[in-house]
Amino acid sequence: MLKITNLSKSYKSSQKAVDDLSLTVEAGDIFGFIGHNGAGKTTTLKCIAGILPFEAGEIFIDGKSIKTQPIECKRVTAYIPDSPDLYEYLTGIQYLSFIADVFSLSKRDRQEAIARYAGLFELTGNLGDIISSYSHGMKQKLALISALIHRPKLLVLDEPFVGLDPKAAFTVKEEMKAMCARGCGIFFSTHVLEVAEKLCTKVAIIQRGRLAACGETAQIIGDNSLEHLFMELIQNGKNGMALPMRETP
Amino acid sequence: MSKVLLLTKTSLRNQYGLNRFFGTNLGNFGSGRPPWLKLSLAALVIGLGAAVVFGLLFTFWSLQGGALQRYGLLYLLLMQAVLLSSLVCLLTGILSAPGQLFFSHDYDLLLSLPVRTSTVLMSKMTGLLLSNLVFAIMLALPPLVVYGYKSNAGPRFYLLAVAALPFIPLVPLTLAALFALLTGGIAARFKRSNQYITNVAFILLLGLMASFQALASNRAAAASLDKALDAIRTWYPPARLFFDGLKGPSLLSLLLFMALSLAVFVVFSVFFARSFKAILSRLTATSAKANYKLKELTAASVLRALYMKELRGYLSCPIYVMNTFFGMVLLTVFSVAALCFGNTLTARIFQQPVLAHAAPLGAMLVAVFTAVISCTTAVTISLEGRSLWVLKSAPVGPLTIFKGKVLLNLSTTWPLIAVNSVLLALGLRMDVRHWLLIWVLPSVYALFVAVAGLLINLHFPKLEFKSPYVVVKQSASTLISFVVAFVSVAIPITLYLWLVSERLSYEAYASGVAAVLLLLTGILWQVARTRGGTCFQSLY
Repeated sequence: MLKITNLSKSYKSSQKAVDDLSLTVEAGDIFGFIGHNGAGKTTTLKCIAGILPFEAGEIFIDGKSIKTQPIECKRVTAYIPDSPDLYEYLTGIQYLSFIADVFSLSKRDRQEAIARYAGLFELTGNLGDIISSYSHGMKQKLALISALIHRPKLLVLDEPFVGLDPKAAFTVKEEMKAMCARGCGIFFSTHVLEVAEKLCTKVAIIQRGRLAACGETAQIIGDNSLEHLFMELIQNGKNGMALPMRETP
Repeated sequence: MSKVLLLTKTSLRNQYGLNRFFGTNLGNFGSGRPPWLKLSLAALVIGLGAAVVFGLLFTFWSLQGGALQRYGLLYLLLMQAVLLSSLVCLLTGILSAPGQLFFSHDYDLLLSLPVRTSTVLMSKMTGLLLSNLVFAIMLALPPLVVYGYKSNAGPRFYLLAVAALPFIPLVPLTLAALFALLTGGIAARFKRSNQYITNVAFILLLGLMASFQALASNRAAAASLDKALDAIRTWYPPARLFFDGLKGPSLLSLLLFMALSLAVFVVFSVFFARSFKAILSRLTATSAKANYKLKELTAASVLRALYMKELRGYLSCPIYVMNTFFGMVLLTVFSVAALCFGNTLTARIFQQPVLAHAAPLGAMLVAVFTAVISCTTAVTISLEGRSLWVLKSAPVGPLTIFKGKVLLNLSTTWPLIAVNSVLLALGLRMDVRHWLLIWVLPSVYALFVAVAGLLINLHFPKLEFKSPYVVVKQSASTLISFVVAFVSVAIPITLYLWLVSERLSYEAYASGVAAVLLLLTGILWQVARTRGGTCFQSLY
């Protein structure tokens, strides 16, 4: 579903934000992307979503290159950033209609999808209100609904649980599992290691732009916890030791 | 006071991107080196624009000074300097004060700091002053220098003039802020407060302009300069103090002028602060009914969806509307006046009876000018701000996005240009040929500035901002777009006056200008398709 090969991205400074990163998200994977602040998670996600250009490597979504076929890639992808900055001057329903129009959803499909997901996230009553009146959590829910209504094959989420109430967070997790069961791929970043450990079928840990560990969650963790592994890798990195790539077959 | 300075300094650092300019290390967001090429280009364009504007202003005031000197009235330059500068600061202040004072996004942070509300407000007022100071200097400096030169004033005059110059906008801006406070206070009671503020500002601006036009054309008042000066002295004491201070020169009068201006500014800020928080809280509060029931939804094309998004964003931002729609409002007022006054209108406006026969030409210039100042695309990319990710992650090519943005510009200008061209043609009794010209040329100009503005904004975006006011009024893109629009009108006029007027009728010449502009617009659109798309992709 998503294949990243040797991705490198630097901003104007010489230091690379993402350095030679390769990973694959298969259909049915819930792939957690973990790293400390400034490690390169958001940059990677933005490159996948086609928001940031990158100098080296390739990103394939559903077999198509984001560099050469960006529109086709974006048509099957849904991306939600860490901070849901939406169009504050639109009402919730206007925003969802805009997204539905942009993704060319039919009247019937959008009606069904919006009714379903707005109901699921308990936001139907607020859809007539202007987005600037929404709380952070409500904006996050609206962004999630907008990502789900066009039935993406790949879901790319940057810290999707931040700001959500426990019920909404549970709903998101259940929806992620259902999507994977339908053959979608989900790639998301998180700082909540417990969530990653319980929810993800695969995880990758990124440090200073480079992949430090990647593979199936159970095998990567072994007898330890994800928290232990993460701290160990961070400590090794701080001590200037080379980061041994831990990968499962 | 030190806290006011600290807040103002921080705000300016953010507002004008000073860190980027001085090459502060920006981590992931940029290199330690400032983007010299872009900065040099922007500085060159702005410098050229400033040189042209100052050149024109100095030429105008030199001619004016020469004429006044012949009648022994050179001192009137001083009065004109302070009055014109104050008036323009009042007008720009009315446009900018609501946005600058009420719609800044950093109030949550600022009001949580251990500083007084009056300190926060004073820093905002200082920001308002600094952003309007350029107008005060631009309009007051040339007549003051011309006065000093022609009256052989010594260095003391120049020293006093330069010291007094920054104080000119204080009282007009305080009046503008008072307007913002009153309209803000009333608008906070309405559901659609943004639209209310936009409408009131438009009405007030038109009222002010009409009053000054009426005053200027009032022959009874103009018959006696002494009477006019007496009236101004009575109604606007700071102008009298400024005038007395520099004409004398009288240090005491000038110190009084500075003290009075500063006192008005400070006292207002302190009093304003009492009701400021309450108004701000009501203005920023949004009503939420939370009783929506899902109705039958409609589907639209991608372009229509993008256009509707643009239109809704446009209408929700008062400063954006005021800055880009005022030209069309002026054109409509002018057309209605033409319908009422007929051929004498142009002569009345330009105060030149000889121009009465050239009404169609004058009307066309007005229509063209109002079309080029109605450019919505110069800030359209910047205003996407932090929401840019929505468009960038959507399965839509940059060109479709650009079309939506250009469409907004055309939909706010073309219908009004068409309707007003008919009104003008009827009022000024034009034949079909002149009517077509007054319709087509401004429409072509509107299209040209729409595409040019978009390209300029793609190259000079400002995606991080605390208030849309900063983008709409103070960004490099706005300034460069204005210079480009101004030059695109000035070049054909200059060429016509110097080279063509005796060989070609203006009708034929204007048709040629329209054709050249269309060609240029086509080329610019091609650039938008290629380089513009790449530019858009690289934005983050």
